[in-house]
Amino acid sequence: MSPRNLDEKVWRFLGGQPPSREFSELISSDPEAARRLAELAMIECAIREEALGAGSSSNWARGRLFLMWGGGALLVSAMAVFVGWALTLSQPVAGTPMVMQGGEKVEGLASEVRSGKTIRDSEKGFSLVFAGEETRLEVEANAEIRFEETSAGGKLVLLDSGSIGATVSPQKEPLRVVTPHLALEVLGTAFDVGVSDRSSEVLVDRGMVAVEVAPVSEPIPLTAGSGWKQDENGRGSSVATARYVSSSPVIDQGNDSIWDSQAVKVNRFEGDRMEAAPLSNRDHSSQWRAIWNEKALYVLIEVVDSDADSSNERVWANDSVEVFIDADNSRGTGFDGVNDHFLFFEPGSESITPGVGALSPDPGISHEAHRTVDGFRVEVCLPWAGLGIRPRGGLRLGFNVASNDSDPGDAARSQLSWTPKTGSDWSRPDRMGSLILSSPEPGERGVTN
Amino acid sequence: MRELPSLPDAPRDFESLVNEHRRGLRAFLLTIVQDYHLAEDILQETLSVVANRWAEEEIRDFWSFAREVARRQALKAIRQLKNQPVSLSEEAIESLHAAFDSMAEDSDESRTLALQGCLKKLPRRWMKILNLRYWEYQKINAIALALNTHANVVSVTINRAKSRLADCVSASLATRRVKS
Repeated sequence: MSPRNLDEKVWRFLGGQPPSREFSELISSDPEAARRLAELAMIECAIREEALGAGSSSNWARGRLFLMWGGGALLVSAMAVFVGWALTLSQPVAGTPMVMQGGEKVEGLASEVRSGKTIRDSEKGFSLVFAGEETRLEVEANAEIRFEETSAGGKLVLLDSGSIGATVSPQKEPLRVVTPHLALEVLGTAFDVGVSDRSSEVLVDRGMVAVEVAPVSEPIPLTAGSGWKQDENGRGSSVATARYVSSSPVIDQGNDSIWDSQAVKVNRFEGDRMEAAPLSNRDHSSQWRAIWNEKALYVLIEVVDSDADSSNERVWANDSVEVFIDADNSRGTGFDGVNDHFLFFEPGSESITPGVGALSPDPGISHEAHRTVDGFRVEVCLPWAGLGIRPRGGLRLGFNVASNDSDPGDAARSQLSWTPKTGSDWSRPDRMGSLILSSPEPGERGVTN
Repeated sequence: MRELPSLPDAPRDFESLVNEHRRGLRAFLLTIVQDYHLAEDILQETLSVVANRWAEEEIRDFWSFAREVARRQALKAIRQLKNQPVSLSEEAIESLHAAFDSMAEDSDESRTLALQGCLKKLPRRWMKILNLRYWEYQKINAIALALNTHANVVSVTINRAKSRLADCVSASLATRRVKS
């Protein structure tokens, strides 16, 4: 058992969870586990004593102040609420949450929403709308949500399970959606967020969303077509969509307008394998985009690189890009030898190098990798037949893209990876990001060339 | 069942021994009853029993004696609770005796000093959450609302912060022992 898992069990136990037989056996048979339980119990007591010793008198004073000030404030608040609701009876105040079901207002559910209760409709979903604005949350059946207004006047939606699709009109204060695994902050955008027992996932349809993940992190900015998945163990991975196109791009050196879908920046890399961080965006930065049709998945990767270098024996040590695909999204802890792909592309090279342990490149794959004015560019056509799956809108693939930059005379390369990866994650499909095939628009289906 | 140790200890002031081992006893009780406030109540009963025995006879090993009294008082309290909770097995509690024994070499005072140093090293947001929970007595849901996050995030952060503090205190005490 890992130290973190042991600690989690111990904290649950010290918090009052009845000990299982396994936990008792662990404590009785493993002196280190018993020692850890003793240490954590000691720290719990030490913190409480420290807090009590440091703040007993001031807390008492604060308590009295709260009673005096808070009592008055409560009275004022209660009056404000009464006046507010009296007004609401005649005309909804701007921003007042309302519930719609089948085009009709549902007052019962709405009053539960307004009183901050957790709402769940097991039979059909509902829409949470707000008076005087176009913000709309489509709550799926069985989703559990609670709505609150923050002290600053912002909207706070707590989503415990299920999914919502949101269209948010511009807000004075950010709207926050909080799930057990992550928090989103939006000012005006459209996105979907879903919660399962083990993870939460957000996918941005329009605009921009900032994601915060537990326990502490800088917000992760997400743009249209991109998303984030956070699991119960605190591991995050990137999510993106591939736009459906009814024709096929020409795999050449030209700028084909068919690629004009939102680019996803390859800008995340964490861990011990990054031998050198890029000096600047000019030294090394990259972005990619993907489109699909019935024939193939197409990926375009554009790398900014101020100094070309292809002098190393190994492809990964040169300027190059890496494409990872778990075509059936089976998410094994190693390449399955069936449809897991790990491919290297080097600018100026016509060959494709498979990664260690991955399948040999399908002969149907075509690509073009060439230098540009400020770096290099790789276009790849990956036929579905070679990937071994049948495409459809909504299909999800394990996916990652990484770019490598080597500079002449400098032994250290830098690597940028779309979804965070560390150590030996390159061989782990379960740690790839997710690429979701967007559904074709009505009448769009059918490749014309 | 363990025998109560009763051979004479080196003469020591009862109060100083209680102060030296109060936190250890409280922590030991916490591992049995899983409730800090109940542990505090049982600690008072335990110290009352120990004080009476202390007045009647010479006790050689205060720490072991008090801990065994604490164990008996805790199990008695658990039995008296209406919805009798499950406690750790006898064998597990026996292992805990050994674990707490191995921690007795560091005084509460040095542990407190180490903790104060370690609290300063916590990330600011973690400290803020701990502060709200332990210094301001806020409930988890209230903290989550105050920080615009989810209750689970607050709980996980608190536990990770406390685990890190435990590691930091252990390392600090080990360094102190090496230096001395």
